Amino acid sequence: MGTALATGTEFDTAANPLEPLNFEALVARHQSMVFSIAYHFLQDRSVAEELAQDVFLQLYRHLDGLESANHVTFWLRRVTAHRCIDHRRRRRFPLLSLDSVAEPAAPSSPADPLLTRRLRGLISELPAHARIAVVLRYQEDLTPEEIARVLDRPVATVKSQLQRALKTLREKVLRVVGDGRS
Amino acid sequence: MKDVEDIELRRALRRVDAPEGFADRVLARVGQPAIAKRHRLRNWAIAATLTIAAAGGAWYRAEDQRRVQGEEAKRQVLLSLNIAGSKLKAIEMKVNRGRER
Repeated sequence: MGTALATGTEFDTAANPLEPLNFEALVARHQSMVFSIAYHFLQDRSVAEELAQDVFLQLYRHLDGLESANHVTFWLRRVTAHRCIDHRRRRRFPLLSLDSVAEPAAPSSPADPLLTRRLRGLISELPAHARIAVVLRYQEDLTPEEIARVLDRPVATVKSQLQRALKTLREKVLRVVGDGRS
Repeated sequence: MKDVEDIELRRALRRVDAPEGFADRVLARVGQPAIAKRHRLRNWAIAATLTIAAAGGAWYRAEDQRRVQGEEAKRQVLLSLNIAGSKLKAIEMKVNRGRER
């Protein structure tokens, strides 16, 4: 048994990597991950669904080249991330959906749904590469090294993008909270 | 502060469920080429069947025509043989009558 399968993480629970990969099962297993990456990046459910469907169609065509459950997970994150960035490049103007419309400012608390929505809106304003790095960091809980592998970028670049993104978010959140209190 | 940030970011970016019926729509899109292939195969099968049927029909008609022609030829041969036979008989009778005299 491979060591990767012995770790017992969420994505390692698939059966033996030598077993043939069942496409239907892969869609069921990964649909939430792929859709969420696209949704958190694009902030538009219908565009995110279309992009996620395209990712799975591409997976279907490349299934023979994938060797294990871990490989599939890595491949899906990579393709989804790159498609999100490509999509952003093609559309110069950011999408405006209900989810990205700013909510009225409100004081923060750890379980504040308004802050959560506001935060999503602020994340959607980040530059594309920084945004996808933040999504992979906080949605998928990837390390900067893993993000760098997924995005094909130097680790140092990813780290500085994450730091800058967090700094920007922190400043904007503080401004919003401050405005809300004043 | 950083912990709160982490928690808030994880909350904002937690995974969401894919829309209802997402997997079915993906599988339907994946199935489309297979359906198109099946339709192409079916069309080929129909075309092949029609071609074979047309060729078979033409062959049958030609055979039938040949058979009718053959039967007509046979009938004419038999008729000629009958005529020749009756003429021979008449000649034979004449010859026999001449001998008797």
